[in-house]
Amino acid sequence: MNPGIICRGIVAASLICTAGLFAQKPADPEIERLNPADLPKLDYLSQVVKVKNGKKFLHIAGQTAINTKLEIVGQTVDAQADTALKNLDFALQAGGAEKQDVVHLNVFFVDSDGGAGKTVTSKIKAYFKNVPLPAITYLGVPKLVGDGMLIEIEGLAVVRK
Amino acid sequence: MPNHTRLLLRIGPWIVLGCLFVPPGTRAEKKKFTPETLFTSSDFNHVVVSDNARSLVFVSAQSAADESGIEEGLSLQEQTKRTLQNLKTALEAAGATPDDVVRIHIYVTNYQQMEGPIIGRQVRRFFNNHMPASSFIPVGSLYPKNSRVQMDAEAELEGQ
Repeated sequence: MNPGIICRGIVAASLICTAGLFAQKPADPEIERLNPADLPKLDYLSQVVKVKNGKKFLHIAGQTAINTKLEIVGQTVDAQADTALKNLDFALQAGGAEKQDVVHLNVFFVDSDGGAGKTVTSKIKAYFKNVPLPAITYLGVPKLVGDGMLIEIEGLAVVRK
Repeated sequence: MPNHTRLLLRIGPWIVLGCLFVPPGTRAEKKKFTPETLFTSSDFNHVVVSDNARSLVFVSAQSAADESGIEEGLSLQEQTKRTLQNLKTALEAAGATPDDVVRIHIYVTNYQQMEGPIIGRQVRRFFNNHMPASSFIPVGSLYPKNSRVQMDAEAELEGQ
């Protein structure tokens, strides 16, 4: 193999690793995420989140897979979760907060085949991959407000600015 | 006049004064109540007001799970008991007690109306009848799937 290609490969790999380091944001000392040893360890939520006061809170309405053209994007919980989380990003951005500022979520999902819980928890896990997890309640519901809607995510974040 | 009565008369007023002058910030400012304009229930209060919170605590929905999940075949009563134990553990991790809780959600699957008191009785005992704002929400399913009841909570702490 051409040594130049190997060199470039190494440079690219180290760049990706460095980017990974930067993606892991430092934890906010004002927001403690607690997982007491006596409670089950779950990798898709933090059991307790404690926020020192003097904070401004951002309450985010239930985000769904509905886009600005009022279309439901995605036919499955899997696909709709992606759009709902993208919408959650927009909401956080509008309120001056970021992923790592989220302290609590309620995740409502329609569980038609019994497998939605697993799908949803892994989507959330992936979304918060590089930041600490908020306290989360996952709820399977018979239906959501509109026909065809399969997931809704409401949240609470602190605003630091 | 007996000696101890005299002593009590002498120090009594100071004890009363001492109780009045608890430094600000250490006295609970939470008011949990139900206004006359709303119906009264022993299961919850309609309104909770607090104006001296130094920190807020958010607790994920707790279930009857331990490290290996939820034991099969537990009664609703037993699941409720273990859920409340886990809730207590979670609150303690943040330095909070049931008294600091301002709001809970109670989620129940396959809910039958007669089951309300089974949960309500234990929840009332947990909060020693000082009930937070609360919502009781029957739901289609919970995760993990054999979970019949879950409770999440928000608490406020003074001076921490």
